[in-house]
Amino acid sequence: MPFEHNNDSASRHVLFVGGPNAGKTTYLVQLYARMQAQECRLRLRRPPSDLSLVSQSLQRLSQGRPLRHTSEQVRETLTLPVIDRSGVSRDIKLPDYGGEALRTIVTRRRVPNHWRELINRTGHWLLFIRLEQMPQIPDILTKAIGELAMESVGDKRDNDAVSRLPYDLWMIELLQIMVHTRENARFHRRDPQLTVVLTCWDELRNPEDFKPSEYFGKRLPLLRSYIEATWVSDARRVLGLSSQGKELSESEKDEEIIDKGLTNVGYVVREDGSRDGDLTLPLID
Amino acid sequence: MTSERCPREYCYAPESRCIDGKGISECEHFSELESDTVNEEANELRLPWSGLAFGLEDVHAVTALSRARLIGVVGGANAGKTTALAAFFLRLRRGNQPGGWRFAGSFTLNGWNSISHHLEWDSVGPTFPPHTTSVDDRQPSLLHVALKHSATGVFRDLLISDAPGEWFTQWAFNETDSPGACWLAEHADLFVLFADSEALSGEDRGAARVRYDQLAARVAASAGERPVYPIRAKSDVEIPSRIREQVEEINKRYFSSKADDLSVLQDADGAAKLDPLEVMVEKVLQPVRVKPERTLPDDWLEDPLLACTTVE
Repeated sequence: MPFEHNNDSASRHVLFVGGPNAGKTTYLVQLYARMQAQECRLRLRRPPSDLSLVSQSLQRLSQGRPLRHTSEQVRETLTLPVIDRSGVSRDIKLPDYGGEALRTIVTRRRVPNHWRELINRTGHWLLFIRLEQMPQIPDILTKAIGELAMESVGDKRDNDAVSRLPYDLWMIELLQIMVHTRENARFHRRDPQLTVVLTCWDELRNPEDFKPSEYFGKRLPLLRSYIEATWVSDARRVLGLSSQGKELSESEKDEEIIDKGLTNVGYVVREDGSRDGDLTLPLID
Repeated sequence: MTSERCPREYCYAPESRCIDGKGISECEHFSELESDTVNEEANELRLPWSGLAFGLEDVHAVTALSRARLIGVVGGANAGKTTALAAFFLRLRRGNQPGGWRFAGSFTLNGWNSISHHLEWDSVGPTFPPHTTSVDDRQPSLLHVALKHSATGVFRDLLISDAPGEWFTQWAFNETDSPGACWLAEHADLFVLFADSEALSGEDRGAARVRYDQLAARVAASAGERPVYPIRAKSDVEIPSRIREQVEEINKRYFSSKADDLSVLQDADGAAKLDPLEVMVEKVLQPVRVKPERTLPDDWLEDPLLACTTVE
């Protein structure tokens, strides 16, 4: 088990990594709802002592509405007391924060103390990526190189485009910073497990049984190459995730979700492409 | 970012980490400065790389760990050097693996991103700056990429120079005029020499040929045993046959080789010709075999310590 990093062996710390709107909080809320219904590989032993992080969001989602943005300042941790199928009890600690906080680390080139602690303490990093939010990536992958080169000669100076890293480069820089932070901590700890979670899988309209790792490799080859060079093969994997099974809209409540209940929507796409309704899967090996 | 920085030469704290590895509040040099930043941000972790292209001092971030390989990209102004660099990185972004070498990280991601936007040169000094500071300005620099071989699992750090063509034109005519080109000539493991097909086919093709001849001579003399690969850039442009013959003659004379074609534009068959730069990468990353310099006893091969030295 790659999770046993802490002296306090009864708890695992899992860090969700992802930019704004990558779907971290939505997953957190759905995860809780699903565990509470006790249909999963990981079940709740008792209700978490502090539910403030998810309670509002849970009500919003149950009304078929999308979640609001988590603010950068939020620094709370949801502790889930769980028991797995073999009867082992643990506390899973999931810190939540606004995705902007990560952007700030990359631009300021400094890792604040509280982030150093999070990065060093966690034994499992879940990387949330929402591919539909990167409209420019297909261009970069398919357009003729000459055409791209010529385009950029034309526009004299677009400072924003120059100073803002494209998504694949940004994510690599963030991971490099996190890996460096850990190396810098000067105590021996095993590398964290890395799970790439492709969120909003339903938006991608992939055929059934399509493997998440293939899709990831096609859309973000540089990031994949970096991850494969940095993490050994049994410490990394790529999963798909659709927390609600569909996209929710701000203006219209989703009647299906209201009637069926949250626990009956949403799925994880396993490494082999098969779908699984157990949303605790990304937290397990 | 703060404008205050450590008064010591070669130290760019707090922008990058203190060269003594100290925290900002512990450093006696930095504490001389009156600064709010000292108190506020004392315990944050500062990164030893800025993401921008490397100046000569910044290079220590990689050279301290292993022997990085350096490709010197040489050619006159507008010869297509930048486009070739941008295309090289774009191909990596598409998952290309030159010679089985896969992308494994880069400390100059912002630098690569700027290259692909073809920024014009900021007012350029005669040599590489020790440290680059701004995302918006382009300065002569070195770009970094870490590569891992997919079969052997070996890691290598690769540096590729991004320097203005004016340096090389000056250097060709007078070696001392361009300290930046001299630095590159001294340190590069391999040189790529760009011939500009557009200039060699234009109205001033006579002058362009002479400039190429001079530059080729200079590179050949500086390189010594190190390899030089001539490249015919913008090969989609046809060079008049007589000029072309003379250029080939120059390449044969100095480098005993023919130039490889490079073009980012699509050919009739639909493929851009971009392989030459990737071939260079493959070549420069091979292990360097160093011949023992001392005279060895006849039976030295039986001594396992002397048998062969491989420098990584």
